[in-house]
Amino acid sequence: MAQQENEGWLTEKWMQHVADICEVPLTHVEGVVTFYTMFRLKRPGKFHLQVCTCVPCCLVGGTELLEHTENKLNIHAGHTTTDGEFSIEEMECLGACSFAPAIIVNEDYHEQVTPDKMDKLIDQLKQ
Amino acid sequence: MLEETLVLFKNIRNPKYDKSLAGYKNTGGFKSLKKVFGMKPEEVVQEVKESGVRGRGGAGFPTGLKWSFMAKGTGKPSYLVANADESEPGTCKDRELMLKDPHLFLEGLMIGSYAVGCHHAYVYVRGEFFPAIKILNAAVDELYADGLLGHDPLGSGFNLDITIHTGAGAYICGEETALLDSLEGKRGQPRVKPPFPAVSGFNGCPTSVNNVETLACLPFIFSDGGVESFKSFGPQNNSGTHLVSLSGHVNSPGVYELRMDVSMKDIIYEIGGGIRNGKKLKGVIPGGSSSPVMKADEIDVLYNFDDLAKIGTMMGSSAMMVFDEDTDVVKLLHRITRFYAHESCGQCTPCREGTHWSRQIVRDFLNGNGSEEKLKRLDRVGGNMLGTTLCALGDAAAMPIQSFVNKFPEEFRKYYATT
Repeated sequence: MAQQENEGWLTEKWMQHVADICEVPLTHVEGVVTFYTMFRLKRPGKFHLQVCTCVPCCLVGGTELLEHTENKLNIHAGHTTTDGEFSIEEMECLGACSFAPAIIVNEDYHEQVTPDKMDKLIDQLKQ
Repeated sequence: MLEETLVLFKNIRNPKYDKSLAGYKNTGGFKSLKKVFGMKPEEVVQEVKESGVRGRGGAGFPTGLKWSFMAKGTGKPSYLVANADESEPGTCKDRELMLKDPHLFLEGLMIGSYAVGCHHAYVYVRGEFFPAIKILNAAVDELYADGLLGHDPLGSGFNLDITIHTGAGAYICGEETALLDSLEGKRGQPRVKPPFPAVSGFNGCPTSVNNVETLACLPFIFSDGGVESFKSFGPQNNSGTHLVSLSGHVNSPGVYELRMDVSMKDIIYEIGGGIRNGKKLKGVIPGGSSSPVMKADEIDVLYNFDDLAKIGTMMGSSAMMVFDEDTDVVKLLHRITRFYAHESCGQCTPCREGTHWSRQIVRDFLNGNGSEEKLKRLDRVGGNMLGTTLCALGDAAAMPIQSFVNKFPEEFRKYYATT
């Protein structure tokens, strides 16, 4: 919830706040935060593109889709564009295997995504 | 022509189905719950045992038996937790149930709660499932508004609350004790067993953790004649239908509901429409990425728990990943080892180190630095993880490694014969 309040990422101030509410040491909160992939310590882009390249997705083009997205936005996975609009994250299984390759943009699933579809989606989001 | 057998997907396959509470009730929903409220909890557990339903999350443990292990008379509350942390690569069946027929699953959860004497049930959903989380929360709100949850639903004298809890991205939280730690607000790390959750689970209280699909079977089992029909859908000890997540190089990937007495060959060629682009089949990962791989000539086998166990593999979560003749299995194994290296919780040394070593060795092959010695080492690293860790993640990482090395050694040799 703290992460949602703070544009999708956490700082020490926010973690301290959570520690105070839960009455646990800050280290406990940091331990939990660094364990899970959905807690972020870096500000994501306005549109956070999470591309799955796990087994079923990689069989049908997930890896190529990730490369395509990286080239299109000119950043590597784990980074954010300089204008702060887009960030890319390589994901492990998103649980949409029969509809692969799958991506999540912020909170929305997109399925059977081809490089073409990805281009269109990014163009749409830019507007 | 092989067709689906619709029990869990009966509503979902109806294009006019309205998944709201009113829509679900129109199809006869909550009749089973009403019937269950007229029975004693022990009778409910006995009936579930009789149906032979086995856990659909991967282990295939008999559900009724699991419930009968719940400690009684401890003076502590009992809990039922639905495991909706679907994250085994290849598996996407629970998501379908939650997105398209949430009340079926929730009725199952309520039946289960009554059986184990739980007054506060939890649904642990993986955090990435944003749409499913919204739908489940809305469905639970509907149940409260209707009086089916809370104090004394249907005049049963039984109180029940349901909380939807979201995970935050960790494969390991699908393991039941890691899930419970995560539910308690900690890092999701598997616990030492025993004690098993049935004795000391959520907050130290007796707890049963059951998969979404397993719970969704319950409304059918408690419908009229349900137990007998359920048993008729498969061979002995493999009763009921199951949801098969078919993915990879087939013409029609998807989630299909099938009996347990159909062959893998028919599933791939009839349900899945065969291999795409007219290619030949090279192999199948039959039950989620943890299960030992099968070669194309092994698929003439019934797709159920026992028949796959007989040939040295497993049905796991019924997630079938099919790959064609052009697939580079070394690259495929590299992707699998990367997954486990990323997801190991780091608690047990064999898994924490082994998952990374195996990934590095497979990467050596891809970089042209493979050798016969490294192939043997890869197999050995796998063997050292098998059965030496607190939870099954070590085994899950080892099984694909050993099976890929043993079934496709020539593919690895290609990488060093040319260099």
